[in-house]
Amino acid sequence: MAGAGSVPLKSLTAEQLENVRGDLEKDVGMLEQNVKALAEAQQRLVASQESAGRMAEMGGMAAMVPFTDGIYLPGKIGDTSRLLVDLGTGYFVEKTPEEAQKYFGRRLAIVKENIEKASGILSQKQRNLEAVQAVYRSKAQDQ
Amino acid sequence: MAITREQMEAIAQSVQETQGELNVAQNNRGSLRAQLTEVEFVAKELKMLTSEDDGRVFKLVGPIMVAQGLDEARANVNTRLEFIGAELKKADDLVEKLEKKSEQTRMALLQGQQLLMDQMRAQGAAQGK
Repeated sequence: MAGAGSVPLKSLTAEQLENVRGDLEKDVGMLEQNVKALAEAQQRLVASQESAGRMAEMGGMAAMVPFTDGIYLPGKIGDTSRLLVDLGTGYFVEKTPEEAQKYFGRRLAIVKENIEKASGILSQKQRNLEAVQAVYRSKAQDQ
Repeated sequence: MAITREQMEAIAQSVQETQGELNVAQNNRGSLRAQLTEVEFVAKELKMLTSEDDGRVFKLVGPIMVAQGLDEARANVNTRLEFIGAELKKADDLVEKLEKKSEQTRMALLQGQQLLMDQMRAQGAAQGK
């Protein structure tokens, strides 16, 4: 949106510019939060995917199993040929480690797509915000 | 047609109230959209499973993980999809309705402000004589 969507910025009063600036700042803040949340989700999915990849070598390994907050018990990792994967909305499904990795790959693809979309909109809003600030400054100087 | 301070305040109030209602409705709709996306994803994943041999499906009901047949799980998820879809449609309609109402109250405010200014100017001119 270079310069103007439907209303040229220069024609707005200082007060209206303030309003537009406020709205844009809110949008930018929200989008930045979205992108951050998506990036965190991406990290968790990558970690899950890598864990699934290492499952084969972990079978029979000794481990400390969390029992309660602050108490761990020694245990042994059992059969790792089937993993229980969280699909969302309370549904879980058994998968082999390979299938689990593929599943996480699918999830990661969606998250990546969302990150790209959100980043795109974020950049655009940031540019709009800068444009509004520039017009605001020039108006202030003219007075 | 005169406009009183009280009337202006009432209009300003309605602008704020409608805006508040609109925000709530928009948030609600946003949350429904997110839910729909999530359930659609689960439906797709369940569809990809060819049989029980691929792996059992479990549903978390409170603190209990219950094994569920694939057909039953798919049916439940589809029912949920339909439900959320219907709620989303209602939410969309409400948002649209409130957007129009918000527009109307803002128009009324602008008109009221214009009337008020005209009145003040007329009064000022009358006093000046």
